[in-house]
Amino acid sequence: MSTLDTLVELVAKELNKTPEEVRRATSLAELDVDSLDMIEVIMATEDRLKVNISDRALVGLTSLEDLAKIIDEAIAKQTEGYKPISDDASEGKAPDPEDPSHALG
Amino acid sequence: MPSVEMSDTLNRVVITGIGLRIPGASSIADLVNLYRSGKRATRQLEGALAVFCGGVVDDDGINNSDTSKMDRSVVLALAAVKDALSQAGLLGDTERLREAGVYVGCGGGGMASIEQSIVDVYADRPLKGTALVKSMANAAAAHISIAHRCEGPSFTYAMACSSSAHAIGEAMLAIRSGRCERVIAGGTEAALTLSLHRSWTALRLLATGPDAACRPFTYERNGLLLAEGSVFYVLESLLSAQARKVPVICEIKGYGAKSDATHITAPNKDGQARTIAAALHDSGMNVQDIGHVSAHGTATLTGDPSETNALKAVFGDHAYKLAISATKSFHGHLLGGAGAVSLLASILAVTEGLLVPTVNFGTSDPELDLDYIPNAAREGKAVSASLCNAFGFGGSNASLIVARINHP
Repeated sequence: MSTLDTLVELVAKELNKTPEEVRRATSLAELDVDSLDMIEVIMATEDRLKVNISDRALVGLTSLEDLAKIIDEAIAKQTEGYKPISDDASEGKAPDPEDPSHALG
Repeated sequence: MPSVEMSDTLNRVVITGIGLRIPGASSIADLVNLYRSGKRATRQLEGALAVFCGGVVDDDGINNSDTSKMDRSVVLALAAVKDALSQAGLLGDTERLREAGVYVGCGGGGMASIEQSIVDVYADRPLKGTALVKSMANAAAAHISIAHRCEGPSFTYAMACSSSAHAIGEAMLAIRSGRCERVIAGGTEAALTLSLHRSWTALRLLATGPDAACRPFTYERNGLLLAEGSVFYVLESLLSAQARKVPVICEIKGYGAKSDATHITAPNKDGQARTIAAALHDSGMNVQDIGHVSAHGTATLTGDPSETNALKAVFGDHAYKLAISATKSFHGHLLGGAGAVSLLASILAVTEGLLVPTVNFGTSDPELDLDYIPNAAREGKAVSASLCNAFGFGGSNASLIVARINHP
């Protein structure tokens, strides 16, 4: 099962939707994912895939595909001998206070 | 005492007493020493909470108190109130306290008592007759009123993390309006429970691990630490303080109360800016008059940028001249009591010229480019007025402005 498949399953369960409905949506906004829903999805994903996901990496997130990439990167980082696959410093990205996708505090 | 015309004293509200029981300090002298030390008072918790860090009150009087009839949050409150009344010269003055109001900010009431009741119920143990009265959110206000025979209004404000700032602001309004001549106002919280820690962990807002620290406004910030404690003030009209010939600590000049009306947890810089602007307007002061800010500063990923941007929106270029303290870096987060704690730093700025540092400060975050007074206190600064922010979950915001009283 791919990371995206796992995410689809978890999001469907959290939002009480079918996996097909989740796959059809092109963005998290279209799925009406609130920041509190997102926390539940992230926690469930961390638990299922045994991975730690940085909150900073999630700032500005708009799609499940992007989230799957972040998770795959995090899994790779936890694997011995990991080498960064790009210069994209998503972890170092400064938080955007305007961004409602992951806004708590 | 300030030499002011009588007409100038009408509706002016001052502080004449302060009492506190917070992590690292049980008096103003303790507090000044702590802030000068630059060392946080939070530490690894004990027992079932040992996987967390937080802020605990170290006071033998508190720790040996009888909690069979009242929650620890009430014990903490009574100790702080007694000191505040003593400083104000009102302890035992039943005549002057008879019409006094009691305004208490508290996020959840007797949280530990509530949790204990639930544990007892599911363990099939009988509940004691005190279970309910220890749990009540207004228990602290009631016990303060009873202990000091205050027969004026006895109110409890519950707006999450802005509760006590609202209590103090509403107390000021009560005095301004003539409803009360004096009010005991502040906040208390003792919510170091397992369920609360797990709830905050589930929100991914708690700094975790045995070495965790609260690091507001730095790049390494990764959440708050929970803390217990209590801070209370005696507020009264300037006329009353002058008539009693007691020293005035400072004046409360402004209060803003606004709601974000946007999200149950997410901070909103526009709502915060409206709140700060309302306090400024209420104070009749200009942005240039404010030299210091005691920030809400919870060390969350989005909360600190939101507050920084709200300050920029209101103060413009003057924001870069503000010295900003985040006291949660020392004590942790007292939730409903937090605003009353933050106000202490504002008061030290205008009375002592002591600018409280933001400790545990690591790497600067490029998005957070104001002066957060990293790690070391500043002394001898002439600050005439200070802003204090408290922003609660649910988007309930409070800002207070205190100002120096110039003694002749």
